[in-house]
Amino acid sequence: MRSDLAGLAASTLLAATSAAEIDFARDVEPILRARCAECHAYGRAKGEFSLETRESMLAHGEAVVLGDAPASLLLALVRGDDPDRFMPPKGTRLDEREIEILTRWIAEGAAWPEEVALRNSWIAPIRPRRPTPPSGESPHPIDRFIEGHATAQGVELAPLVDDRAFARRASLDLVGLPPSPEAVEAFLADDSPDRHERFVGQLLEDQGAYAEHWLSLWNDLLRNDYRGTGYIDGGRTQITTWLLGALESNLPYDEFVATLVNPTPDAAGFANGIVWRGEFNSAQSPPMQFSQNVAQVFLGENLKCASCHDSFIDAWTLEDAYGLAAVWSEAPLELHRCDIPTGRTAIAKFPFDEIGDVDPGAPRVTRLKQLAALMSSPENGRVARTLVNRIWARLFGRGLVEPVDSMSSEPWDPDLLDWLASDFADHGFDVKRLLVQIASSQAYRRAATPAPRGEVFVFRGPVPRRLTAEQTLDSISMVAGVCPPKRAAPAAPGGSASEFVRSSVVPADSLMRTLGRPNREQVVTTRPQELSMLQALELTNGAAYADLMNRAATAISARTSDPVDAIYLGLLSRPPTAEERILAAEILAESDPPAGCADLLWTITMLPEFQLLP
Amino acid sequence: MTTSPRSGASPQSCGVDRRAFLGAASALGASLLAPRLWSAPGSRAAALDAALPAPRGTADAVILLWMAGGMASTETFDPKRYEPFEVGLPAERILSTFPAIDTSVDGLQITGGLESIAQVMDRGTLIRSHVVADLGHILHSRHQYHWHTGYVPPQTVAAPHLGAWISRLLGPRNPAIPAFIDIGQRLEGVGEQEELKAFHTAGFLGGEHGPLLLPFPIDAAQAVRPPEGMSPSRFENRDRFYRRMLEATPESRRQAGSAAESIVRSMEQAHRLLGSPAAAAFDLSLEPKETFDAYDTGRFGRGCLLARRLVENGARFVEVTTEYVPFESWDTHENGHETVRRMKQQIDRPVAQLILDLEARGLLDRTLVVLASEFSRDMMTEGRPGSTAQDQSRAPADVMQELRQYGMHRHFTLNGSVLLFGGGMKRGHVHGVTADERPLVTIRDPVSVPDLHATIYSALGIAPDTSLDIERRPFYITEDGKGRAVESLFA
Repeated sequence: MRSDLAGLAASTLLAATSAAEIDFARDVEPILRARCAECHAYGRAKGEFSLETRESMLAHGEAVVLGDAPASLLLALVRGDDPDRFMPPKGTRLDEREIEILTRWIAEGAAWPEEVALRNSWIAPIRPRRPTPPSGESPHPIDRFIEGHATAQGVELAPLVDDRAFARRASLDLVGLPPSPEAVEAFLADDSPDRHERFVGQLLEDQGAYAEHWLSLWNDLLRNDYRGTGYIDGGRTQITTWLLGALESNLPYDEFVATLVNPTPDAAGFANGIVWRGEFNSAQSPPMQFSQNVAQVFLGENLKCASCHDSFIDAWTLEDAYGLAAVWSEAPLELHRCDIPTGRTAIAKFPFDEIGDVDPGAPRVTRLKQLAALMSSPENGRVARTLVNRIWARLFGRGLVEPVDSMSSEPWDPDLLDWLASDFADHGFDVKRLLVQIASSQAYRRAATPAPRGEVFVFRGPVPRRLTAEQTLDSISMVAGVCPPKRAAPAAPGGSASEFVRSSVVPADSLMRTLGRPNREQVVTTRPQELSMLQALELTNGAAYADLMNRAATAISARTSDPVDAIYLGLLSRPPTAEERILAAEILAESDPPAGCADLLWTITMLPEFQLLP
Repeated sequence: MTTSPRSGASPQSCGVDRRAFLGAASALGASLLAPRLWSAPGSRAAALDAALPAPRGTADAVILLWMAGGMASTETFDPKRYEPFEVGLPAERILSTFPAIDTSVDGLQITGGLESIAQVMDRGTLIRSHVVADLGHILHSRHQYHWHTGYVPPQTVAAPHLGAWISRLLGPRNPAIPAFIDIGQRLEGVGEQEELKAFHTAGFLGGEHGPLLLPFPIDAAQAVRPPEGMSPSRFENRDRFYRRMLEATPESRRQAGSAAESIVRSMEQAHRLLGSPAAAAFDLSLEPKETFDAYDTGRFGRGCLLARRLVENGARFVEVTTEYVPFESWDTHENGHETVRRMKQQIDRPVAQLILDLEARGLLDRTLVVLASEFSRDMMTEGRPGSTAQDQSRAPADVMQELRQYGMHRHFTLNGSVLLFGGGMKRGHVHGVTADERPLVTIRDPVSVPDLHATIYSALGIAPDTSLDIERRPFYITEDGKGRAVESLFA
């Protein structure tokens, strides 16, 4: 009955509007843009269905059947024939007029002017660009870019944080540890205008602390760990000694990348990948792991789809993914499509061949040299952009390009990204210099400001960031003077392992996993930012965290009769307010020491103020 | 290193070639090739696609009873010719080391040692044709990864466990009971622990859908109690102080946004769970002695009891495992007969009691109980006929000299027994047939891992081609969306 009425209404409308031709730009495009594009255009293709172009729409095969509206799934879904499955899934349904327009448009052959595409016109440059920083009042080039951005977007930037918050933020960001109370006091006593830059510089002088902090990021990115799949049976080797040495000596990033793709034996674990026992999908052979991981980690490109078939979501093809794999492969590599051999042999190829290529006929040792040269070539702007963006994302909670592994996406300020990247390359790929440059800007000192979901990102200040597992546990270790008993990671060559054992150099335990340290069988480029209920449960009553609280409290109580200041200054880099001091005293008085101290420590470490960077 | 395609991989196993796709777009029949459109989470994609029946929606909860280490079907639910041990017995004659016994279903026999389960076989369905992927070199954790995630490792993204998908798509039944609970498996201090961790995870779905791990059922209450050594009053005080301290945070140090909200919200939820009446479900000491004893054959038996209590109180997905420890329990590389006899003592009473208890409480209709293992075993064949995998028996013998040599000491992937009770499955039904002489391969109605998963998902009302986007591409709940429910298993 209902459908009869609907049919009647539709045919009436059809009669009423049939005089006029359906015009794509006037009638159809507004509907697609308003109701479909969020999931099915602009680089998104949910359900592998893309409405970016007529070609991508028809590629689905089932959604739109030209000239046959009743057979077109798109119409069935927008009509809502099935109450459990309709489109759009959220918001109001399409009205009858809109459905009628789409029905007629498809029935008439779905005309769509070739020049119209529902996608960003952005094409990410591969070569470096050297934009000039805008003029402006700020002495710092980054701030002049940011001022221009804020003015153009019509937003006000977040206020600057105070020096205590800055000291905690910079110290945790750059060396992974909260500043000692003495370091904070010394910083507060300094009123010179360049104190922030000097504070940052001093932090980075501690090579060991710096290296063991950034080790975690690179372990995540390079799938390096101290135990795990493959380490026992020789299917995987560590690169820890090389990596710590590279970080301690601040190895120029172009050399760092070149060494990882054309490795010395001590750095070969990354390129060799994980050799799995038994059979595996051909898209996961070690040369294909090399291809995917080099592309993701250093070039910010996803070749995972294209490792199996030509990608549906970007322009990468099976030949591209195998081409990079063939640079690495010792033996000729047969292309497999969806794990089925094709009979074709991969031809070694660099993905961005506009800046040069490897010689596919050359021996492997030559190909790898050529690849290393291409990765570190002055013409290759992508390697620098990808690194600069990762560092920016670490220090600001969000990259200039997001997601950080999708470097072909449009940055929110392309000139800033390109300037940072070329400046980084022009100054010897010096990562520490880059860190100083960013952390001494006013942009870095602005208050954490949440980025509303679903809105186009506009920079106001850093986005709130959760402490990593390592930062969390090392903070507690530091304030209590207790730490893991024994490091698992080998020390850097020539480096002396400090007595304070950081959590980055021990294997992940259940607590670290709870706090977000990942399994390193896949490349991991971001850690979870939210606390889940299961994690909260583990922290609230789990034995491991309770034990840590007790050990830390015992150590603190033994050292000082006034743990309140020690805990506040050590963990939050500030003294308690009068109200907090009273509350803290109540908690301490509630139980015998060190139980009261353990409860105070627990309370402080569960606060968002502690768990998030200021 | 060989990267030859796995046996049985279909040419359509991972979507369609883009160019073939474009070419075929205007041709009739293109829809058969096309990837499925818009399988939003929990959507019932099937309704518009004649090739894909609608999910059944016959169950609300799942209990997975995991026989870790490779349960030999011929020693359990698919008896073949029995040869009692005697010195001089040729190994090749041995198919089963246990005699067959009758069950409550006419004509259906299983093996001795499973007398209690035999009595409840009329409540369930027995699949004898579960054929799993053969990954060459047999490594339990890889096959377990495959069985639990539906994807062969390695994967380029961290694949979610079955229970995590169910948590993500259906959420908890009772907000006070985490949607995915895993009972009996230690992840620290056991062999292959890193490999086990790789699939005891929600993967890219995020930590909130990960398992609540309860390795020791008897201590499960500890998971929902104040930490050891902390009195309830101190625990309550600490929480009260925490709230006051939150309020006292100076304005300039307050954090806003979703990360901050998630901390406060999750802390509240955790505290609520700890104070909830449902927390009593975790406490086995509250079970009457009589029923506790009925289940108490060891950790696995107690795990079954815990699973029953949790499901009674609104758990969504519970896995109870006999626990994977290399070369222990079902992982029989030698002395298989004796070991399996002991394993049967562990599982027989509690599994049967679980079914009876669920039935008595009116819960069996909407609770799907699945008993499965990563592969089966055989006396002679390693992996599958023709496999080049190295022989894994530690007690190889052409003729029996001692009892240690008597048992299924090699892995086998071409048969496998699965039990399904409740949740909309047929009662007293047998699916699939295996050969009566070696090789003991499935000869009718094979059920693959994707199809078994699709059956479980279908029972829960989830379409097998449901996908979520990760790294801008769809990741399907069954491999490439190709799993199909075995419709004939449903009542």
